[in-house]
Amino acid sequence: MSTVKNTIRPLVLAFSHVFRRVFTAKYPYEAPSRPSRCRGRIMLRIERCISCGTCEKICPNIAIKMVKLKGSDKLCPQIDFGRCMFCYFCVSYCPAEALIGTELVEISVYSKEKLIYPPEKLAEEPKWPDLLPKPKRVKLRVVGRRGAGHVEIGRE
Amino acid sequence: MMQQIWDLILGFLTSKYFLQLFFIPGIAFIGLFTLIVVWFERKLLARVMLRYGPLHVGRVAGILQTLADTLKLLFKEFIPPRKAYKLGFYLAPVFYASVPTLALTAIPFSPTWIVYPSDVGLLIAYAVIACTPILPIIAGWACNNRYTMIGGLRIIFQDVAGEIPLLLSALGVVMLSGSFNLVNIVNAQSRYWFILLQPLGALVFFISLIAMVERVPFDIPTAEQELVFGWRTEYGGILFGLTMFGEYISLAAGSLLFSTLYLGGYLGPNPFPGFIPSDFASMAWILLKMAVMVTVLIVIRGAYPRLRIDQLLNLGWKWLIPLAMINTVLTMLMIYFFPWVGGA
Repeated sequence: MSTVKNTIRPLVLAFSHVFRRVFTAKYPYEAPSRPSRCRGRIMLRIERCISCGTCEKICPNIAIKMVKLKGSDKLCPQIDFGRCMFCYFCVSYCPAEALIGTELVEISVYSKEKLIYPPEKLAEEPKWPDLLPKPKRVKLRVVGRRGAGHVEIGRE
Repeated sequence: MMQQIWDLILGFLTSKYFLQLFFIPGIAFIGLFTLIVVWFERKLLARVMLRYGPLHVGRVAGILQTLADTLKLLFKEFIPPRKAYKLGFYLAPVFYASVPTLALTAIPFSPTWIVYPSDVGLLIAYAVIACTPILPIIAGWACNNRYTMIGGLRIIFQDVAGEIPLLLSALGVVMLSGSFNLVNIVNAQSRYWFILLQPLGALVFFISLIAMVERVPFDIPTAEQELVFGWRTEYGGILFGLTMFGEYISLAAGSLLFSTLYLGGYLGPNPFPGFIPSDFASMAWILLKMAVMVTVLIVIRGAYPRLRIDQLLNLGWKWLIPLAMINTVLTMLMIYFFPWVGGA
């Protein structure tokens, strides 16, 4: 009897799924909110940086190089995201908390050189790339009996 | 003179043979069925898995995705493997796509709309179904590749395990209607559909039908995760497209056969008898029943994992064949004690 039950149950489940909410978000038209520990593009707060060079020494991929800021002698990190593996050692070792992580992972470009972020570029707020359409911000929610799905939380 | 030639051409274009060749169940039906069902399968399977499926091509729900894929396959190169048996390699997919269409010739779409009306229509359909698995075996051998060979060998096992219960389970239908003629079988169901009189036979027929048309959970010869792509591994471009085309034609033929044998075929009420010709209404009914069958088969694909080859053999030999025999005996008893149930 259990064999019959085990045979019929998946079929009923599959049929019921047809009427349930679709789980997938239509990325990049919809951008699901990322978990809080998501490791995205690293951001530099220049005014906090004490030019100690710890990030350069700790970087396992030699992606960080200390360079002079434009128009001053202050040394600040320059990150090559082509080499970076997002281990976030630099963020956790930074004594002044000048390097912080952000949620933006859409940093793809057409040439490797554009992935080298000098301190000035590193200091910019992370922003959604112009190549992609403006996304709907969505969030994963369980909506009643129709299952979990992505719900819009207002346009960016 | 010109008028006569014109009349001749017009007469040919409106003749039953031309319409059957180019519309139902001919080229237009087969092509449209494949294009729509492949899209529908991807869409419905996606919904079963809580995904969207094709979304972008053709603006509305990715409706042109199949057409785009077909065009892509048309322009791709196909490369025969070294030391392959070229004739078998090239011809097997062509025949694999064309042979199942012959099964459609035996299916009645209305009392008069059959390509080949015959007193043994059911046997013709079975003969065609029995011919189909030979081609993958030839293809699997001709490719000179171990995966394709194993896929071809698996087809032999699957065929033997699936075809005998398929034949035996339909015996009940033949006994009830007293005929091998598919029109008589359909007409015998004017009071009750045979699925109500023969639930066991219908179940056995349905399961062995899935095995015969090589759908999941019986897609053992293709077995994407174990055998690369089974006997289709070496095919690329339009040859691969033809193998998929053949699979979907088998699906259409199988669904139509099930509808004819158990779901009352073309029988169904005509809502506007004076307005809609009865032939059209009959075709609409059998196509509707086929659509329901195809939907069920697709959802089954989303629901079950693939069986191992030994599990399939166990199912076929230890369960389906005895059940089909029990069904035959039950039908005999039914006809003996309640002779009024059959249409004969």
